[in-house]
Amino acid sequence: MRGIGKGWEGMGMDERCLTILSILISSNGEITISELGTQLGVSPRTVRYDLDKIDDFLTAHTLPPLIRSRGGIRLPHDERLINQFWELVKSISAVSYFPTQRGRVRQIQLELLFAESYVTMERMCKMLGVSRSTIVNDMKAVDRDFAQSGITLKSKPRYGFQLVSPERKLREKVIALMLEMLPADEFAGCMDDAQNDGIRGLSKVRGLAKVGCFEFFKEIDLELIYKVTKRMEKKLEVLWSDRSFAKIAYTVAVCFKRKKTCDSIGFSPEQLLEIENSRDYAIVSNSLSYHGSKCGFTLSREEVTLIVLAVLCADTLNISYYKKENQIKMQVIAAQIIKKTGKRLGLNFTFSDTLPSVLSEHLSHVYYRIRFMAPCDSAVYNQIGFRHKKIVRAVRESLEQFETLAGARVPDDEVAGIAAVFCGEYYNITENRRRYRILVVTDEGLATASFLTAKLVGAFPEIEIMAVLARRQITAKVLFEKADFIITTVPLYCYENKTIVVNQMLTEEDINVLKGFMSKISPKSPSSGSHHKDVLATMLSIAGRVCPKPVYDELIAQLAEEIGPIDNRYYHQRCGIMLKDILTEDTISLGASVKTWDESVRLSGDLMVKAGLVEPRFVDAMVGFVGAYGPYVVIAPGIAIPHARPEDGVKKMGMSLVTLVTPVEFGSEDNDPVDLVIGLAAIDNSSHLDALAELIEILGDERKRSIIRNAKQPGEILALFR
Amino acid sequence: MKRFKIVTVCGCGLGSSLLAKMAIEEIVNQAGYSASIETADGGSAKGFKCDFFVTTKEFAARLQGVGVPVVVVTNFVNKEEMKEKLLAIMAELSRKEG
Repeated sequence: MRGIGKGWEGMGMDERCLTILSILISSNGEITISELGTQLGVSPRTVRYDLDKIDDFLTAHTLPPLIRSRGGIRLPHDERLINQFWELVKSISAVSYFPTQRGRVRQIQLELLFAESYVTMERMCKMLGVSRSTIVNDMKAVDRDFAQSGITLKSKPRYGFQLVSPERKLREKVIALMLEMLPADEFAGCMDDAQNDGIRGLSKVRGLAKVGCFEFFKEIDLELIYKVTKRMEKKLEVLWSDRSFAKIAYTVAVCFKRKKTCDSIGFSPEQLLEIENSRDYAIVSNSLSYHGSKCGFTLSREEVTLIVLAVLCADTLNISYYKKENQIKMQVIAAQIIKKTGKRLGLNFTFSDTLPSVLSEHLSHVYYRIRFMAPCDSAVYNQIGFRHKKIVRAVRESLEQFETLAGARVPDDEVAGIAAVFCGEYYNITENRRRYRILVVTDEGLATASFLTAKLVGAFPEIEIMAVLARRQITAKVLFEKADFIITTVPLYCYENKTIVVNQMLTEEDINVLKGFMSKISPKSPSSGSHHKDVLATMLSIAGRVCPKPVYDELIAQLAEEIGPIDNRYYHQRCGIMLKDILTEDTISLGASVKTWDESVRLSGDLMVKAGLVEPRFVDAMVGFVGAYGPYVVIAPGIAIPHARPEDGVKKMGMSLVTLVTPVEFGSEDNDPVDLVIGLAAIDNSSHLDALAELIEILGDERKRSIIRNAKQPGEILALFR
Repeated sequence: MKRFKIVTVCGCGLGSSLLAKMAIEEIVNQAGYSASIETADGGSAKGFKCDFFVTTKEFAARLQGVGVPVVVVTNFVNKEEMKEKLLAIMAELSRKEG
């Protein structure tokens, strides 16, 4: 069953040899034979045979053989030679080594998935360098595998084979195959290496992309799709799981690679609209057009939609700060699921700090996966479903409302995923991992206070002392409210129901009283250092109020360096909404032609009405203000920012931008005529401050100002935003 | 040092008055002055007690007779104009005070 390796006949280089060579190229030092064996899942003896084959192969190519030393195997320490090795590995196309059947099946599948019409038997024989009967046999496996993914393989005598299935299904299959060839963790990890290590890192990527996929990956600019995806992640301010990151990147890759322009991927008009209305759409399409315009291609509307859908369905590792369209609904539903599930399990989950936010975040992804029938591909979920049947059942019975919202039944693996959110909390409660968080109040000094706390901790391992306070610090309300109870040596006259007065020396009697007290109450919230998080959150929110923005940003940056990434929900509330959040393609109109100032104001207003930001009466109010007070909205030569009050019909904060072919007169002595009109829908007198500051910064820059004035595409303007 | 109280005025108190407020904050900090700045809309501006107002030509006319200086700004994008006018008035008020 071996193929005719062109030029390599008899040398026996197969994909495992190639993998070994790639591993050696990408490692800096020596690797032992047993290590290689473990990595490849074969015996050391097999590895030794393979090494001999590699040596023959290298010698045939006038390259020095592998170096064997006591420490193991390595390549010569010579950057120039390493490069030659790398070139050699790259040059071996799918034809020049002998793929296994599995490898051949994958190659045939990819060929079919990207084919524009029928693929002939001859073509496949030639491509793989194997006989007709081998292909016939392989096609059975190909058909089986496609059938499992819901794709139909059609064969027509004399023509060959073709796939008949909706475009979306085909693309999903390509992505699944890519994930198999270059798994998510390898992709993300190796791309980082590639950026640091250059060729060695990159060789890891391509080297480990097994199963004869060199040919396939050669045509994909992995670095580009990695960059595009990174940019989207940054712009959306999320952290995707490795798997989701790779899935999104591969979705982008397929859209880029797909040369055939297809009219439809298979979305209904309603589906397209639903996705286009999501706020992720603007950001994703912006990121794509940014890179697209640099590389000279544009994606169709459906292709962008497909990528946005991948983004919407993606699992994240953090709680996103962005307000999603359905966020409030999702929070309400999450709260109900928490309550109902708790009731069915006989537990109270409502004290949890984290459950509501994690659950509503998770549900927002599940929502899109269900609505658009996207697979949830976590293998772990099924394991959870199997091991924690009780929790899964309780969750399943609590999902009614969510299912009504999503318009479909939640599949079992997704239910298990939702149950996973509960599992941690479930074990915290049932295994009594929660600790009492207490405050100690004393009127004595450090010496006696430390004696008391030491005795307390000794007697009660289940308590966690949040702080030791002096009597007069009773004003620290947050602390007192968070504490499960308070141990004090002086009467407090407040928080009476959770205060226990003890002797400074903590007598036996005190300990008994405390034991009795603790048997009656249960700890409210899990320990896990959440007190420190509270302090951090409070500090950051205060800093957000008192520091100027640049100082605040610097503070966040330095803190993140010291203590690791800061959960963005703690600071973004103060950080403000930027231009990119409120001025999108929908509300930009370029090169408009109007005759009077009020027409220009109405145009800017109507854009916001269409985008659902304001009610039509807001437009009248905009014109009304200029009518009543004069051309004060013309804030600089040629620039007007018409607006009205929040109570004049603002539904959502936003801006619109109109450039005029022929400037119009507003009646401003100093700043007429106007050719740039920026409509503003504010919800109060401060939330739009950061966005406005950014706008002024852009307008203050002569170069950027002229980019806006001369823009032909909204993308040119959006690219100016932070 | 004197802490100035400045009120910026426009039609709704959230457009050009906010722009002015941001610019003034920057200018004041850079020049080493101290100030509290509030925004107001055209209707309620007269009710504010302050050292001086900053606004556009249109609202300056409406603020006549308030008894404190009114600084008129024509370009809210170019900070130079605002800076020049603000530094002048703050220097003058400091002198009077001192």
